[in-house]
Amino acid sequence: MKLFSLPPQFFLLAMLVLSLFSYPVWSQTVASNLPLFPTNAQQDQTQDLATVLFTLSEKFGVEFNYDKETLFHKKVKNQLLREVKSNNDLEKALEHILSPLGLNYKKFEDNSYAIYPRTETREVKKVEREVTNPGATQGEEEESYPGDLLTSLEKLTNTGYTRLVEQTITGKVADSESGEPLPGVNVLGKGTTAGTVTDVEGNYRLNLADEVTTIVFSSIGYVSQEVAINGRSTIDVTMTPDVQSLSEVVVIGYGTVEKSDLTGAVSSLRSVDFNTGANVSVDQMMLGRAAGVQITQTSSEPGGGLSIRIRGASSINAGNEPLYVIDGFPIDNSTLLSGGGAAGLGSNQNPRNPLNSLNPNDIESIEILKDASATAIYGSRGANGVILVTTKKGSRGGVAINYDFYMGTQSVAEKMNLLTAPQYIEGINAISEAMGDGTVFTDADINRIGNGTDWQDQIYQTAPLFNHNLSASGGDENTTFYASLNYFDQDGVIKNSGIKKYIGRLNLEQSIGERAKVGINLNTSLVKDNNNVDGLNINEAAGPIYTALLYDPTEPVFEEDGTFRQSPNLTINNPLSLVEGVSSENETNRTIGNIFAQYDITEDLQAKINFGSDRQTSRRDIYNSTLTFRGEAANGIANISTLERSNVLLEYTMTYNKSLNENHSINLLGGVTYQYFLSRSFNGNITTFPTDALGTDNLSLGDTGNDNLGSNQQENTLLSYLGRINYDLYNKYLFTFSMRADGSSRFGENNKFGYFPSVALGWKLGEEEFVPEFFDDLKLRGSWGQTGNQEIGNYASLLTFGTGPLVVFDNQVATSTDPSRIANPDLKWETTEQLNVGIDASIIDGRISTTLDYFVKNTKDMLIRVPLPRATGYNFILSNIGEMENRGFEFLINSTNMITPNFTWNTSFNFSAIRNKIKDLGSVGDIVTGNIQDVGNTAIFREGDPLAAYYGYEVIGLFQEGDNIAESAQPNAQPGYPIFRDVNGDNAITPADQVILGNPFPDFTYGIQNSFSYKNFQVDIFFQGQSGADLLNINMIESMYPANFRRNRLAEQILDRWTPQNTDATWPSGVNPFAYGGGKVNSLVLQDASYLRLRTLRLNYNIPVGDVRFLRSANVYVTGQNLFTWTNYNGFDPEANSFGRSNVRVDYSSYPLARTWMIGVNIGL
Amino acid sequence: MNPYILYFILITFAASLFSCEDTLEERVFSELTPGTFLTTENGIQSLLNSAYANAHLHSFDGHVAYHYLPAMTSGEAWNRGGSIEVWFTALSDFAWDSNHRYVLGLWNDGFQAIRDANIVLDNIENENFSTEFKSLVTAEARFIRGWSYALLYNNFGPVPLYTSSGTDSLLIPRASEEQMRTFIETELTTAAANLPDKPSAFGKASKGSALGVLSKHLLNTQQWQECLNVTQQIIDLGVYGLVPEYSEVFSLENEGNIEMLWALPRTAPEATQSINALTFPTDYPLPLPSQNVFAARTYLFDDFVNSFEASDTRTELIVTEYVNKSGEPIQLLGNDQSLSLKYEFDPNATGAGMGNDIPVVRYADILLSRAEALNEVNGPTQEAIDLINQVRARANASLLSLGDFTQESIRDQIFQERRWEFYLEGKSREDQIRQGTFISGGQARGKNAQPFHVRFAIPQLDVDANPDIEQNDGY
Repeated sequence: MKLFSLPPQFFLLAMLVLSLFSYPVWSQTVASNLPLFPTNAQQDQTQDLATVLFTLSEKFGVEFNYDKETLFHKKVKNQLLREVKSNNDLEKALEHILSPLGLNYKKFEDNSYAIYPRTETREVKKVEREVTNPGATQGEEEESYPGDLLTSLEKLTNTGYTRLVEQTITGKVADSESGEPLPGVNVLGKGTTAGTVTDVEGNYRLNLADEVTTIVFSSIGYVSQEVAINGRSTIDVTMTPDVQSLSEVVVIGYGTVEKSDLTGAVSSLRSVDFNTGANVSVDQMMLGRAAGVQITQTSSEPGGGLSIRIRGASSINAGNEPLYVIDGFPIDNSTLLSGGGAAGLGSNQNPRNPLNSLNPNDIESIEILKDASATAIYGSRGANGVILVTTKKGSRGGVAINYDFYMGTQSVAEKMNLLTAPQYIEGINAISEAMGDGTVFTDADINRIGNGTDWQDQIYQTAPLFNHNLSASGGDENTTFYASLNYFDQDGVIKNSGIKKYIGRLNLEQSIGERAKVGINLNTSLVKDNNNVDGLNINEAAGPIYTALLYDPTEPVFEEDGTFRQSPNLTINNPLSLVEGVSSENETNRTIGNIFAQYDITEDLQAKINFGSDRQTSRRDIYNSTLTFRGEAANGIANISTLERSNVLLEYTMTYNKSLNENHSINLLGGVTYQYFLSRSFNGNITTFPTDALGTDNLSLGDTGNDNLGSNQQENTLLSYLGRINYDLYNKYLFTFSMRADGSSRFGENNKFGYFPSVALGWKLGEEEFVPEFFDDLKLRGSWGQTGNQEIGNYASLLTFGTGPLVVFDNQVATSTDPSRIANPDLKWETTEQLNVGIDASIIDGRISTTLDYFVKNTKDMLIRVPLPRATGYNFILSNIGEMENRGFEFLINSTNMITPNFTWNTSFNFSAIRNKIKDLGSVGDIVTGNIQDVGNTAIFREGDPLAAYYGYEVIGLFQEGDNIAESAQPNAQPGYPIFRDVNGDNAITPADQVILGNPFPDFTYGIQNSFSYKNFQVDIFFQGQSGADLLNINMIESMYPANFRRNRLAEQILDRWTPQNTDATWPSGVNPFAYGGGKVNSLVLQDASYLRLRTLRLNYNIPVGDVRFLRSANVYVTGQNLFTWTNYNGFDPEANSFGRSNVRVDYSSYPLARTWMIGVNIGL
Repeated sequence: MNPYILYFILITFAASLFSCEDTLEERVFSELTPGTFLTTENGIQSLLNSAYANAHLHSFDGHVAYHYLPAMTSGEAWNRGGSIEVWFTALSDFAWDSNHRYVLGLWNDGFQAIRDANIVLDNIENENFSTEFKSLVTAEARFIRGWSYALLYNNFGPVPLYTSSGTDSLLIPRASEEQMRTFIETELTTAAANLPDKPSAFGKASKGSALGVLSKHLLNTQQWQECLNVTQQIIDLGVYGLVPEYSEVFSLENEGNIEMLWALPRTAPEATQSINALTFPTDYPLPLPSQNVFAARTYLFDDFVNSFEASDTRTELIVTEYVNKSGEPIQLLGNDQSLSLKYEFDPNATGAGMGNDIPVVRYADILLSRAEALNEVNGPTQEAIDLINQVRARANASLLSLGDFTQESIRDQIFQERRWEFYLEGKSREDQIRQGTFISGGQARGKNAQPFHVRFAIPQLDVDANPDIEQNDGY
């Protein structure tokens, strides 16, 4: 009789899943007379023990019961197998095979054997928990069978197995999140030993005794479920992922570790933790999800830039972005082409995200290394944290195909509140009269103008987005693969902007013999960007957002002849003429791939060579047509820039992993890596075209007397040696020591090599007798270490000469050369020292778990552009000076609030509070920075204050009629002018009266995820926010100090301005604002950027596909993104930063945030 | 094999795969290193070009400062519109501070010219260079230092005196008055001795450039006799004279004319100045559709425009009315909104930048400076009256007679003549300071002018970065 069948591939698949949980597996098949082991097996050097047992069970018609983990990674040498004769002596064969592996067997009945380790205490406890949980008599069983595997197996076996089978239940198990079928789920009749596991399509077939009324479903990484049979013969189930799974394996630098053995501070994100919805890039998937990791979308443009601060900003002038390591390959994440060249666009500080070239659907997991113990292995690139991205790999057993499609629509979430045409007319007339210039608009004008033009509406659009993702994965005993194709197409909410992506991936692993394995991870992409052209540029050079916020609302869009209307009163372009008149397109091809080979020298010692290459070419084409001022002036400007950026990695590592005895185990890692980076660029521009028709397609059509060429080539090199020791004592005390010696070409002749050590201790309190049973898990962690930062660009230590200004002799232009910088041959690493203490705990069977960390991060020898007196002819010298501290607290709580067969409710909450402080700037004193054209500096670096604190004048009120203005510190003021605080009391407002106005860093950030699952429906709600940060909105300044009287203004500034009748106004009179005195950066325009955002809302329905043979799974979903933001901030987005990745934060003509609704379908075949 | 030993062997083997430290040598591709670059004449010449560009105040902020710091502080003109207004209003109101963008622009260009000239001078002793090359380049570089320091001294008083490219002592205090003047005079005198009578190309330094700048420095520091000596040398060169028509002094086709001793050369479309763009209103009908202007406007006062004699041809370059793009007539005179068209719209220019040179020292200035010095040294003389009359005659203004003047009234006449001759040429501030009317004039216009305002504030960046530097009084 065949109770159930289990395909051999599936057995293997199950073996691959790392687990501390366990479940028994039963198997019985009809005996056969085939040879015991196939002859081709002899070509291999080992076979998995599971495979061997399977063969034996078929051969002898017996079943084996074992804890799944017992067999994990156990291999049998073919040499041994050859010695097993086909002589029907099963027990002798078992003895022969199991003994060298440290395993025993015991026979229960004629055809049933249990396999168990000789001495193993750890698993016993887990097994006991798993096995006994479903039972109603849990406490009783625990008392009766205290941690003896054999006894508990015996109990199970003896109670259930011999019963008659009277009912057969079939069904399908799927993931509640993705709707994908779940293979390998353990399905067990409650209170019996009768069970099975689901196949590759999630199907199961279970024969049970009649009186069994409940089935228990369990699987690693999922919440176990009990379902009442209620006389049904088909039961489909969805399983909710259990983020608390203790068995999680965490990827760390150059290796993996079980989460329970982790000594460093690492945030680990699985697919269930990722943001749902339209994610253009990998980093968007984790925005708001990890404590201590502040991810801000600095530009809301499709594919726009993001900035990440892991545990605060650790550097003033060197980079602050983390290192990205994708499948073991540290990639170059520097920004792509951003300059507008000669096409009159200037530079956008928010270039496209370089991670757009990865397909978010390919990501299996993301680990964020935060403390020095975790990051020191990355040495001079570790100071800002490290993000390890692991892509999906194939599993053994069949092929699974998955197709995901969604489409959506986006609209501007919040328009800026500008004056309408009637409000504008009233305001302009009133202020003009107050200035003594009479009225501007007559009654006839007002009648003619009517409602005027809403320029924001002119440049905004409701924009579609589409995504297709097709993937296939699978494998057999020797080969696994994962392949995917992705097409993503998103238009922007500003007309003439958007992104298209085409990405392919292939991950392949091949075993060669018993000891060797080779693999390849290959990602290739084409990204087409249609760039919005706004940046920090102003006036004539500005883009459509800037101009739409300032354009006169009384002007029509078009002249009567259909051409663009150009206000004679303004020198900025008609916003729509910029949308239609400027094209700026990027095409980026990027291929990231690495090939590795690993070889098991002995059972414990493994060597690995990894060769990687990351090559990207990008071309940006800009054409500024005659529709715009600049284009018209030049008769069309064309600009083509190309960038080739590549790097190669050669890396050799060895690991040694050994349990010396039951109390000591050790893991050693050593390695050497070399990485070489090259970047080359070319830029050409030309003007004076006979027509706009060809754009950048034929540059030689332009006037070759008006062309410009430029090129650049740079390289840099890293050579590093690394080592790590992990030592586990009594399975309670964990020690980690690591060290990396990093050499970088970027540093001064005298300081090429830096050394970055770290130590960490972990104490598994949960294993101690004195810790109450209340805790399922409790661990204390502590670490110290040093990491470095080398993100200062190339050649910073050398004196070189580059292109100087143009000079005119005899009315001809000549070129020149001037010094690029002052040399600093002593330039070296910036060193960040970090101390971390943390607790991991879980209670109530892991239903509530938490991770808490406190850290102090100190950056020394900071790479600072020390300002030089301009009288030296240089602006600064890059030097190692000063010290900065980030001190913070972060925690993560995951909770399963409710769990019933039909309904589950999970909550995840993360929180972090970080204080940044500059402790020392050496002899430098204050550094004022963050210059904006015609606004001036916006921020300051000052000892004792946070980095890049906003710096300007404090407004303490408005002058009123009757005030003694002549005797005040502002004798030139008028009633209605702002009163600036005379800080030093010298009765004059001077730069000495500037104070720190606010802090760009939040007091705390948080994210809250709630997931509800009811039968086939799931709802996910994710909120995310920050509190206490300020943000300087330069558009507020533009409005308060209009560069042209006829520009439009923010409504509140005019509607609530000071007039003799409105004396308690918030805003000054608007009469000759340039005579206000003080400065444009003042407390009136600085705003609180605290916010709470409903970032995603997702409703998913799993379509039951039990009877559809070709379908593995199907689900449909609706997702909303950025649905609501609660904030007092007046601007498009309190997260925006027009300086891109800089620590100095300002919002200036930022791209508006989009609110998105999407519907999608996901099908598994 | 013992795994530890194997481990050791393999790791050692791996380490040897990677060649060591020389891997980390920095190879420079797209920039030049001093060792190869500054040892050739072409390299030195290229660096000297940068020194010239800075000496020509090539940057937007530099040339705007040169033009507008005097215009706005002296009450010669007034301004409306543009985001630049916040800076110009501060100048007009005597409310500028040490963070003034354009004051910094002047400081930056001046000191970068000095930086480049110092590097040139520190690398000029090279056996591969010809004697002529060394002599000429040395003279040019010293002229650039002299001109730049004279410009800085004029605006800030004594400044730190950087005379070499060494980076050992970057933070130095300001020089004394004495050191400053001596250095400027020595540099310009020495340069004049070695520079050619005519520059090898217009825009480069000549004997006349050095003597011209020197004579202005001597005049501004009221070294009258020395000024007389130098102006005489200039006249004796026989190279310079007055262009027959006033408007032709500035015309594009006449650039590098006999009147120009030293100018800030510009050419369109690549190396331009923006004065017209900061002067003309947006509705002004520009001659070419490809040209445009900024939102800022610069206006002349009616009092000034009306002060010319009717026959004076210098008013030809003042726009008092126009018909705007919409066809409406706009009256400027009468509204204090007359516009200076000293720099004609450049037909080669596109956008907002024009290629007109900005004169710094022209022969008319030498004549009037000499008249002023003569009057200070000798009192009323026919020679001084003749010098003034040369300038007036060219402008078709009535000629003066010695008998009508005292020393004092000649002085007043010269300052008045200078206002007519050099309006919006960056002369008004220094002239008023010499005349002693810079502060009182500001006060008369109702501004909060204080005696300390005769010098601009040392840029705050330098005060912050250099503990040894002392800010000017009052800031």
